[in-house]
Amino acid sequence: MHQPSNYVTALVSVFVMLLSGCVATNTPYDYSALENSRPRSILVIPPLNNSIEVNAPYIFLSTITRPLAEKGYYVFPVAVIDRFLKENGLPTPVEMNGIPLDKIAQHIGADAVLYVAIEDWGQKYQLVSSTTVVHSTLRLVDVNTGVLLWQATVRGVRSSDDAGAGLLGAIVNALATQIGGSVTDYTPGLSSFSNHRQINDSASGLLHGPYFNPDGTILWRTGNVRGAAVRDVGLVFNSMARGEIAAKSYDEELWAEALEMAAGDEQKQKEIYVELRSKQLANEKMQH
Amino acid sequence: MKFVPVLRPTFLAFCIVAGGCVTAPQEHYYWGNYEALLLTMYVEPGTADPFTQIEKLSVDIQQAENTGKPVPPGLYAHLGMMYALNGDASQAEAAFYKERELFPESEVFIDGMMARAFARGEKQNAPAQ
Repeated sequence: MHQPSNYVTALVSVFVMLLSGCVATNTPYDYSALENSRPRSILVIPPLNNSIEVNAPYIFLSTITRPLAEKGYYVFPVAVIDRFLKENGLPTPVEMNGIPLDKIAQHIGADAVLYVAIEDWGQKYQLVSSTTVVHSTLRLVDVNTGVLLWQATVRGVRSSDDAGAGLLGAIVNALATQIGGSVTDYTPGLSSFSNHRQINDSASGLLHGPYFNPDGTILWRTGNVRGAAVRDVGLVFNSMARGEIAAKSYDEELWAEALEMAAGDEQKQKEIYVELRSKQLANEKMQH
Repeated sequence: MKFVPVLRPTFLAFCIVAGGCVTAPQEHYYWGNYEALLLTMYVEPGTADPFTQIEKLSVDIQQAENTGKPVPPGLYAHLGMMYALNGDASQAEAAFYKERELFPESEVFIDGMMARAFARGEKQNAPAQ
């Protein structure tokens, strides 16, 4: 690496860490398989349930379409798919998770499948308080190649001690459903919140799909901005001279400039930082 | 009905919270009752019968139009399923084809479903495709 670019990156990273305190600076997520595959559509298979909460898979299922669709993917209608699979001799998620990929391609035509396993779910009651937990693992797989495209662990915990405290409490409470009229189930709200958070995580979230279009264009990365873990370029492009960035080949000065242009916009600066840092790591890797 | 305040009014607040650390741009789709229906039809079967769902989803479609936001992926297909469960084959077909029109990614699935329904003779007056 050249000295100046290291210098710029170091400065930028200190600056951004000061700003946010929540940018992950460890090894960037490797998005190369996802970028090669570029799925347009995601089939969510009803989750396997390793928890003792019987309803967990379907509660989860009701909270996964929105974040995936808002990320820019076509998400197959989960309830229609569930019924379709049941009518075709697959009565439970266990069988559904074993469908061969070629059958999925043939009958559903999905580009990618999201396999979900619920690891822990529900409300644990202690003497004076209760804790709500959601915990699942997600694996996105390319239907045509079987390659793992993205994986994530979703965890959410809500304690009754902080019920109502702050906005998180307010949201989870608002999303809670009364079940049977007496018990309040906080897992739908917590699941919804946690899925959104994980899918949009700035270091290891899912890349944008083809429908994500803040400026009316399809925002997969443009060809000359290649690298290991570059993501959310669209948001950067959206606020600055998109054409100019796309037209020039990558160089770090340009990104430093972009960062300056995004001054005052913390979110965009974070995006740029993540991109810059991952690019730097990728370059280092190539030179070794 | 019990699925009253789910999601809609709180999502803005959610974006604000999430915005601290997460990319949460303004939502692209009008979500309305879709997620809440998915939840209740499994958790409290019987409270979200096809007729109720059709009613709610139709309101959502109207609301989406009013707000100028698109209807989310899957909503029309879900509506189609509800019409089918209600025995209304022509409305079901129209909704499924609307899904395919809005989201061409659904073509293989929708066409397969239509073909099988046709083969089973579930549709009496299906126009030739």
